[in-house]
Amino acid sequence: MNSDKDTKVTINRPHRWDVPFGAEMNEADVDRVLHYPPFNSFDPERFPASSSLRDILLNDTRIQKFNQNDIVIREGDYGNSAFIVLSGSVKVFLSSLPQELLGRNKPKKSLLRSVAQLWNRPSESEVAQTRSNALRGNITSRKVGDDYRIFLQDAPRMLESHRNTSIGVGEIFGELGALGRTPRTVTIIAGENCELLEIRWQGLREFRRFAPHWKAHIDRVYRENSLSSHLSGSPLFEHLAPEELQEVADHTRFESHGTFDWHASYRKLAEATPSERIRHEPVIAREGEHPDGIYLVRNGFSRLSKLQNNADRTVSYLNKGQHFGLAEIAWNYYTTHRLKEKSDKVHPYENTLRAVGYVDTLFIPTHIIEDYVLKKMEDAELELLFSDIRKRHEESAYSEDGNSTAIATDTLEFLVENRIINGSSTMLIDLNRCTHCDDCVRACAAAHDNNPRFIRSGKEINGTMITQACMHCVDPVCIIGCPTGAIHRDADAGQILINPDTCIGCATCANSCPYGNIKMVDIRDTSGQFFFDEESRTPIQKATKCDLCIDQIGGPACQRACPHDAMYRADMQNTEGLAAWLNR
Amino acid sequence: MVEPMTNLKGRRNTAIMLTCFMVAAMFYFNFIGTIARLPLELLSGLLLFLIVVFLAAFNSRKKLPFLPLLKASTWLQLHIYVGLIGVFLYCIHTGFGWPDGTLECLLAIVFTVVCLSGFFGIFISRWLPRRMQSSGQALNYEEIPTLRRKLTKRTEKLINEAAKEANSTLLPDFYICKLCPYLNSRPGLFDPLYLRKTLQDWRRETQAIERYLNDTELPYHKQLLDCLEQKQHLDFVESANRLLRLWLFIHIPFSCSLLILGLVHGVLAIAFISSG
Repeated sequence: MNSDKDTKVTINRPHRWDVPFGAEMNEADVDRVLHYPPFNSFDPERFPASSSLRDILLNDTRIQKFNQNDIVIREGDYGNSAFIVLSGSVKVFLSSLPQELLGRNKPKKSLLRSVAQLWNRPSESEVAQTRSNALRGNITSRKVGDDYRIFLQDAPRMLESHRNTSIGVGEIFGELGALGRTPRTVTIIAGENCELLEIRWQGLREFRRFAPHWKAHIDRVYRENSLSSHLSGSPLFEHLAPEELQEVADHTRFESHGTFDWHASYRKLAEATPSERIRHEPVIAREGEHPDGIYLVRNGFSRLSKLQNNADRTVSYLNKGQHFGLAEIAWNYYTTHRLKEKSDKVHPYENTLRAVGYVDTLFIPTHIIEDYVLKKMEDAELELLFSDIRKRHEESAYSEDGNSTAIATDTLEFLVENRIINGSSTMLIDLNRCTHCDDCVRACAAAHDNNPRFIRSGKEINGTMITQACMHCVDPVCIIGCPTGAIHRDADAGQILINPDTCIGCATCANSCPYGNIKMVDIRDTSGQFFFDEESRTPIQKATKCDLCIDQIGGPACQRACPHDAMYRADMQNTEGLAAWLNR
Repeated sequence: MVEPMTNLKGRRNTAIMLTCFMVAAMFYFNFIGTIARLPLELLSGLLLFLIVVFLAAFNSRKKLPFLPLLKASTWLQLHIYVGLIGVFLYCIHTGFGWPDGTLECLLAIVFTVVCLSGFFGIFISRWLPRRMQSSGQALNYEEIPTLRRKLTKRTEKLINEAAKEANSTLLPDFYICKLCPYLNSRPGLFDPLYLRKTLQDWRRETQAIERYLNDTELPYHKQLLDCLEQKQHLDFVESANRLLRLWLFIHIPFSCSLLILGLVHGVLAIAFISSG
C-alpha cells in the first residue's frame, strides 16, 4: 500500500515570478522597453542569472495605457510602483487639487443633519447611498483589463488654474514614493493618450541593487528633494546652517531593512514562537558593537532589544523621526573630549536595533555627529543625552524602570510582536473597567446608519484588549494596491478612509490588512434589496471599517460613549500617553 | 490644571465642589424662601424634581452619541454625584421620615427602588469587570451558549475515550451523575455575588474518585478538571453579564415612573398651596 501517494500531492515549489506583474508582458515588449532610458544604459552582465534584466522586465513590469485626463498618480495615495513614459506625456500638478475632485470630500454633518440621523437611518443594514456614482452608472471610472482608470473631471480648467509641468518619453516618476512607502506628493494625469511602463517595487529594488548608476540616481534625487528637509525636521539638526546641513546630508547613508511587503508574512509569523519571530527581524545594529554612527528612522518601525541570558528582551520601539545610538556616541564624546580624566574606553551600542517588518533609516557617521551636533553642545545638554546610560548602569539587569517607555515588558513585547505599534488610533479597552454594556458598539452603529464598524473582541494583554477596529496605521499597507484609490489617508487629519463611491469591492485592502480590521459587506438599496453584478450575478460588495466618525461633529463616538472610561484610542507613537493610560 | 472627572483626584474635587455648590444653593433657596414666605419643602421639592430630570437626561445622552455632549464617563460621574445630592435633598424634603399619603408613599417606594438599584448598579459596574478579567479570557455574552455546547461535547468525548481505553465505567458514571447536569445547566442570576459551587468544591468531589482511577484514566481526569474550570469561567461571565444588564431593567423604568409621579406630586402640591 502506498500511503504517501494517497495522502500527499506533489507540486512544484512556488517561485517568485509564478504570477508576473503584467500577464500580457511579452518578449517583444521587453525588447522595446530595453531601448528606453534608463534601461538602455544598464549593463545586463551585472544582473545575476537568477534575476536577469530581461526577467525583471518581463515579470516585474507591465505596460499600461491611459486615456487623456486619466489619473495616473493621486496626491496622498500610497503606491508601490514607479512609471516610465513610453509614449505620449503626463501632466504633473504642482499644487494640490480640490479634494472633492479627487473623490475624497466628506464634510462634517451639521448639527441639524446630525440630529436628523435619529430618524433618517435606513431600516436595513449596509444600505448604499443612492448618490453613489458607481451605482447610478454616472461613471467616473472604467475598467481596463483587471484594472480601473479614473479620469479627472474638469481637467482642462484644472490645468488652466493650477501650476503644472509635463513629463515626456523616457522619463521616470513615482520612484521615491514606491521605494520609501511615502504618500504621493503630487497628482499626475495623462496629458494625452499615453503608454506607461509600470515597475513594481520588487523590480525597482533589483534595479537599485544591480545598476549602480540607477541607485546613484535614486539616491541623488532623494538627496536633492527630500533629505535636507528631512534632516532639518529632526531636532538634532534644526539649528544647523544650510551649508552645514548639506555637509551632513552628503555623509548620510540611506538604508532599507526588512521586507517591504511585511504584511504578507505577518499572519504566518504570528503563529511562530517569540524567538522565531525575533529571528526573522533583520538586525540593523547589534548590542556590543562599536558605535559608528546614529540611525535615524525615516519610515517604518524598529525594535530595541537587550540580550538577557539567551533571549532578547524588548526595551522599546522606535518609529519615524526617532534615533538610535546617540546616547552612546554622546557618552563616548563626553568621556574622551570633555572629562578632565579622559578615557579611551569606547562604550558600545547598549541595545540591538531590529527592523520590525520594514524600516528605512538614515545612517549618519559618528564623526559628523561629533562635529556638527555634539561639539556645539554645553556639558549640561550632553549629560541630558546620556543620562539614560548612567541611570541604566545603576539599575539591575531586569528592571521595569529601565524601560524608557514605562510600559510593562510583556505588554511591550506583545505590542511590538503583533505590530500593534503601527496604529495611530488603536482602540484599547481596559477589561478591568469594561462592563460589556456595548454602549461603544451602539454609539458606533448610531454614527454609521446602524452599521457598527468594529467588533468588541480581540487579542488581550495584561487586562487590555486590542479591539478589532481600524488602527489608522502609520504604515497603512491596506492602501497599497487599491485600484481606484478609494482607500486613502485624509489629507488634513491623517485618518485612513474609504470612499464608498469609488470602492469597487475588490477586497484588496481587506486582504492586505494584517489585522483583519477591514470587512467586506454586501450592500443594499433603500428598500433592502441586495445589489448584484449584472454580468456575474454575484452580490456587489464594499469595504467598510472605522472612519473615526470623520463626518460627525462630535468626533469618534465610541470612546465618548463609554460610561466607565474603559476605552482609549491610542496613538502608539505617543508612548508616554500610552504608558500613562496603561498605568493609570 | 483641571483634573479630569474620571480619575480619583478629579472625582474628589468634583464631589467637593458639587457639595459646596448644593449646600450654598440650599441656603440661598432657604433665604429666598424666607423672604418670599415660601415653604422649604416646595423649594427642595422643585430642586429635587430638576435633579431627577437631569439624572434621567443621562439616558437621552446615550441615544445621541454623535453629538458633542460631553463624554459619557463624565455624565456618569455627574449622575452619581448629583444622585447622591438628590438622596440628601430627598431626606430634607421628607423631613427624614416616611410619608403618609398614598401617592407620597408610592413616590417614596419608587424613589427608594431607583436609589437602591442605582447603588447596586454602580457597585457591580465597578466590581464585576475586575472579577471577570481575573476569571479568564474576555468573552462576548452572545457566544457563551455556543462555547458551553462545545465544552459539553469536548467533555463527552473525553469520557468516551477514557471509558474505551481504560475499560472502566468510573468516569462515565461520575459524568452521568454529577458532571452532565452541571455542564448543561445555566448559572443563577446572583452567582457572581455568591457562587453555589466553587471550583474548589469540584476539586474535592473529583479527588474523591481519583484514588480509584488507574494510570490510563488519570490524564483524562486532569483534563476534566480543566473543563470544569472553563465551565466555571463561562458561568461566571454569563451571570455577571446578565446581572450587569438586568439592573438597568429595574433602574430605568422606575426612573421614568419617578419622573411622572414626581410631576403629579408637584402639580398637586402647588395646587394645594395655591388653594390653601
